[in-house]
Amino acid sequence: MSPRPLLELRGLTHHFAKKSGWLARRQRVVHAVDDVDLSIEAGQVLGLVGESGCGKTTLGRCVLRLIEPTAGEVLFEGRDLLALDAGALREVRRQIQVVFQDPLSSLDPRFTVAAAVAEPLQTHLGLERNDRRERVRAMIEQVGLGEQHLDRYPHELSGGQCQRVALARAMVLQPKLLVLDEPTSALDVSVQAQIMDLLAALKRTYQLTYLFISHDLGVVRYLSDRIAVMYLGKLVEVGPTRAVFGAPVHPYTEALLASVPIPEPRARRWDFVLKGTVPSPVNPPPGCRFHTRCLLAETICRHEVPPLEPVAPDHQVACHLRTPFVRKETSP
Amino acid sequence: MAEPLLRIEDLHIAFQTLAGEIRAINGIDLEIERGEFFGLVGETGCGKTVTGLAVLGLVPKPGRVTRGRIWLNGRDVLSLTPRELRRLRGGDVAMIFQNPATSLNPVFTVGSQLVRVIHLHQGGERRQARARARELFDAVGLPEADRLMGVYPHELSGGMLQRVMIAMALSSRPSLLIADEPTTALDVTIQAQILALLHDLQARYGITVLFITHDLGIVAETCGRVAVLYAGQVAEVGPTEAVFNQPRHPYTRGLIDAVPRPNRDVDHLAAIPGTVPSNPGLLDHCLFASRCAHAWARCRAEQPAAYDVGDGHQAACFLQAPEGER
Repeated sequence: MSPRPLLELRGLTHHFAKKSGWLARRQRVVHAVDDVDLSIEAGQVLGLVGESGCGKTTLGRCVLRLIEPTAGEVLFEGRDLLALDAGALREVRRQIQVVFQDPLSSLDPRFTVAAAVAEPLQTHLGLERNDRRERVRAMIEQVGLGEQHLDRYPHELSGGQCQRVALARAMVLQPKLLVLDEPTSALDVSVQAQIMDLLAALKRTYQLTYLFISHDLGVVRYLSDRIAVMYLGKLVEVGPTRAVFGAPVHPYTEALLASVPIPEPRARRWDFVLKGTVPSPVNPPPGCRFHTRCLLAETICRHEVPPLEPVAPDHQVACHLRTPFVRKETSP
Repeated sequence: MAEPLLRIEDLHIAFQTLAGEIRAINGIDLEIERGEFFGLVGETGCGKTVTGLAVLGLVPKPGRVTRGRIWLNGRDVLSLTPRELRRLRGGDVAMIFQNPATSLNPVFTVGSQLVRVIHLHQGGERRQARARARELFDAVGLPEADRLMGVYPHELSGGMLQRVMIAMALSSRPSLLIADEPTTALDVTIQAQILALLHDLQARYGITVLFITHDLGIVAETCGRVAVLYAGQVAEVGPTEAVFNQPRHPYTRGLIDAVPRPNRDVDHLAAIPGTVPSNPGLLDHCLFASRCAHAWARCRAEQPAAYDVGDGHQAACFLQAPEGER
């Protein structure tokens, strides 16, 4: 019996209503996240990858209830966050913190570094000024900044330093789970490496659990224990990092990995390029959502939604053709 | 040897600001041969975009070229009159940018914008321009040219818009295409499509591409030669394979080691310590010395020349100086 996961999503769904047409008389539904089951064990890093519009950011926000999911459950330590009232939710949010992509827009330009990092201590714990100062100073050092940065404003800091401040602000309440939404995507590669190493160190020191959302497969591989691949609001493959990167099963995962340029000169196969673009999530294709771009697609893929099925222990794939029990319906 | 298509000699560009003069480009030398796919790679602020703009005579105000020459097809770009420059831009050189949506006018159809460019630069009849536009749509892999020419930019995806921009850039049959981060705003699967298209066009039309990017992976997979810029100088230049397999400048090495790989496990990313000097042009020693693990007294006293390490591979680092000269 494995331990209860720290975070468990059951049938998580979020549909946006999108008004369109003359005077918004027509209403269309954007299927941003559709029936996602996912869990993260305590102390693990789950990397959530996919291209823009696949729903990975919406999923991250649903976990925090920054967006109210349309349906499903978000279980944190066994409690359904969606059932909590405002007071109880606030208690839980102390345990779940978030870091966004662009620190310059997530940090208040009128707050000094010290004030930004101290704010959660005041709102959540009601600490006195002197106690706050101590905790802030200790946290700032943990993220690799120093005394001299405390009284600076965000615009006086570099992108990497700002992201360190955002991390300190998230970490100062000693949360159990951090949702990291593209935390290094706005940074240069040399600075990105510094932040990645910091994230790895913080995780070790505090036994943190990360939901790490990114479009950058290299970054995700470096930090994650498990990988979940999303396409058009659905999970297509979930499994241990080694397995997903080493032997991807879903054709989309395979194509995605083949598309990433690697800094090693090699003969690039330009014919192995995924055709077409991601269809609109307003009217997602029926059946397997990837069938419009899949080189293998057969009749069944156009009609039936493939369920996530195990292909190895802890490794699941949603593909009619690549899971071990190929359906008989495919043959006439 | 034949004259290279593009030769940049000792280029210096400075920006006059209220806080004083910021020297962004500090002596860049580059030669790009006809038919090359040449990569210009570096981090934010290293001067790669400004260098590209300078080739078009488009250095943004308050910047200006303070020293150096740019030769394109044997012509001295910096001495051209505004009229000659305009003809150059629509003729011999074309440039595409990171965000195609901001390069196109939202209130005109993509077809009319392309036709207008063709008409403006090549004259002739509208009908001929339309036919040429249709041809170009085909060439860049936009199907159903007739329908797509009638749509507005917001109706197309980022990848398709970039194809429209490439069609526009190709309309004058330029000898040099400057591509400034053309795939940075796109998803990886779409990026792969655009890179494949540029490769195909280069093979078909023998066009020379100056590819500006921050992504070492793209350089490794698409460019024949590469120059690594640091603080407005060329740190290292050479055949892509040599530069990646045997980097001779500590900055190049550091950059390559900092990239997390999707194809292998890495225990530790080697971050480059410190930050880029804020006004590097004021320094009279190696600009990388303050961040370099190998730096010694000489590196903090004078600037290294570009030392030849064979096969057109050069690195501006005293480590590469011949034994006697260190």
